[in-house]
Amino acid sequence: MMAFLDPISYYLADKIYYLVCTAMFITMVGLVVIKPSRRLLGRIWRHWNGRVGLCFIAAHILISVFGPWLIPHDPYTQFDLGEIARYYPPGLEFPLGTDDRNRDFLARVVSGGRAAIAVTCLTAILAISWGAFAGIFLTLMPRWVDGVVMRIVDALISVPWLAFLLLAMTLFAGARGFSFVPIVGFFYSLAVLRVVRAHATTIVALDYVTAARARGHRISWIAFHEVLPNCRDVILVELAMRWTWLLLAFAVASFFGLMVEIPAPDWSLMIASSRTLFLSYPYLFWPPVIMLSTLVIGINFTADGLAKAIGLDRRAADMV
Amino acid sequence: MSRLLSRLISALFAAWLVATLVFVAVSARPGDLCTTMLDREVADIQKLVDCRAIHGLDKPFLTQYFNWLSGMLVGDFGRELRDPVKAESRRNRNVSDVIAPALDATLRLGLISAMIAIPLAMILGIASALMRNRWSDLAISTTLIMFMTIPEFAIATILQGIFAEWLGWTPAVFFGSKISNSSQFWMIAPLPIACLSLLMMAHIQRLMRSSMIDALNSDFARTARLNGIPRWRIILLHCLPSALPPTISLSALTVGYLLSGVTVIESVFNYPGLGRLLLNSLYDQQTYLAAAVVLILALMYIAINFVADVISMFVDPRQRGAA
Repeated sequence: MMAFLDPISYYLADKIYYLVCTAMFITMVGLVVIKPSRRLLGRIWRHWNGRVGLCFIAAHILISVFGPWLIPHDPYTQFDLGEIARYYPPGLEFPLGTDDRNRDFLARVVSGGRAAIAVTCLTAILAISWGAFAGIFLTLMPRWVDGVVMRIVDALISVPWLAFLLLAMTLFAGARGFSFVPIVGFFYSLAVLRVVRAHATTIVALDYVTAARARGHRISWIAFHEVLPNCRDVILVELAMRWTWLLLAFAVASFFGLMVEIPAPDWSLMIASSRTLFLSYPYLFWPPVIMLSTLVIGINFTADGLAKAIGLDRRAADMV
Repeated sequence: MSRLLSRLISALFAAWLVATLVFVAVSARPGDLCTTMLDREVADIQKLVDCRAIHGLDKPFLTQYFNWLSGMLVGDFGRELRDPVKAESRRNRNVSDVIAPALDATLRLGLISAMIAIPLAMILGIASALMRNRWSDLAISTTLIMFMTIPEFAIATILQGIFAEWLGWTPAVFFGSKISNSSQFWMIAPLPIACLSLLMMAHIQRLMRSSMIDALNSDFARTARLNGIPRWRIILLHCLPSALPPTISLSALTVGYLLSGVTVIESVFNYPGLGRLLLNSLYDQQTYLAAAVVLILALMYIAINFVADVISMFVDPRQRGAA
């Protein structure tokens, strides 16, 4: 019935994931090396949650970049372990044991975030760019356009995202693989739109925008040269925050079996399949849970620290 | 008053728009109710024509739309069935008859967890505002944030493992198609309620904490303190009313988020509510039923936010005037 992340899409997700990881690794090194960004990192580091967040993210990047080199096993290989049929307990050979098909669980846990990170990264970027674009342009439009669009946004946002995703995935029955990106990306862009619009409204009211209008600049020029640079902080924080909610959203969709096809490693699928073994084989349940939540906490706390470092008030932001 | 009216109008507009979009989305998909229902017998043209006549699918699009819309106004969501010929089959039921018990179950679950979680989170928020930056504040905030960032199905599983399998206090999952009496409800409900409450609390506690800190540091609180008003009076009568409205509107948004979370929790506990109904109807290709459930969830969200707006208008007189 549903769209899966089929092998081809998973392969694509794998490549994107490597790109994202490498980019993040380079960014991480770059942020530490380049002076102004090091100052920003230092300001994030000053808040305790920013510190925790940065540590978690750095750990995740290091694990995902160097992990596959250090682990001798492949996440797909099924080992023949003689008399023990499956669920080989943790030991020297398999530090986290093996799963129901005797695959090395450590290798699977290390590579289990690939689909999630790749897909949600794309989704977050789509949601942010579309939401920010629409939000900024709405404030420059005539009042009635703004009013009509915002009423429509209010109406759309009242549909719970999971219901939206499920319904959309059934209606577009031909959609496969990355259909999560446009569907959820569009839905999350509505929330971004509201936040960015609220911030842009305060900027459009300022004198330099009025001056630009008086000089006869077009709306698109004002949007890109006057409003957008002043919304950059909000957009940056929004990107990080949406990413955490998107990771959780992906986890839920994947838990229902809507995202990743079974042999591919994925944290939520691992949690889903070891759910019933929670008491008898805890070493199959906790590692994916810990990996998923540390990543979510890491991004969330970093975004929090970033918001505090920039001086944004994000307390009342919604958690869609 | 005019603000109340404009809020009401925009809420009604949102409800109408969502209903229309759901209807358009369902009609736009290839095939219709009858091709789904007849399944393999769809090649029989006479049956198809009969079926479409029974369900009014042969009428023009706009007529169908108005029939659907007016049907919804009186709580008639159409029928859930596979085969119109076998009228006695158990599938041949009104969608509203299927939805009503599920809605009842979900509302009970949601209301009870909201009634537990929102006041508790507010109290915890006030407590951590009063003890700000001490270890107890840090402990409260960190624990709640952890519950927010661990995915809900993992929390549900952990609670199931501890309280159902290990301690054996409650059944891990619900068996059966609907809840018939309240003792049955209280047998299964505690764990889902605990999960939903934990999901909601972090956000509300955080906002309550920071609004309360703002209120405590404000000029009016200082004036009140200098006038010698007792501390509990300042906290309860001066600071709380000014800190409450943002928390109330955030609580409404969180309850809206809960409507997605409830789907996950219900499927983990096999709880016979709207969320499980939505999943089952989608697996079963019952698009009309699914559309009705989505619509009801959206209407609940709209209604909750409207009520929250009204409440904060009553709590904070400043919000009554501005449009």
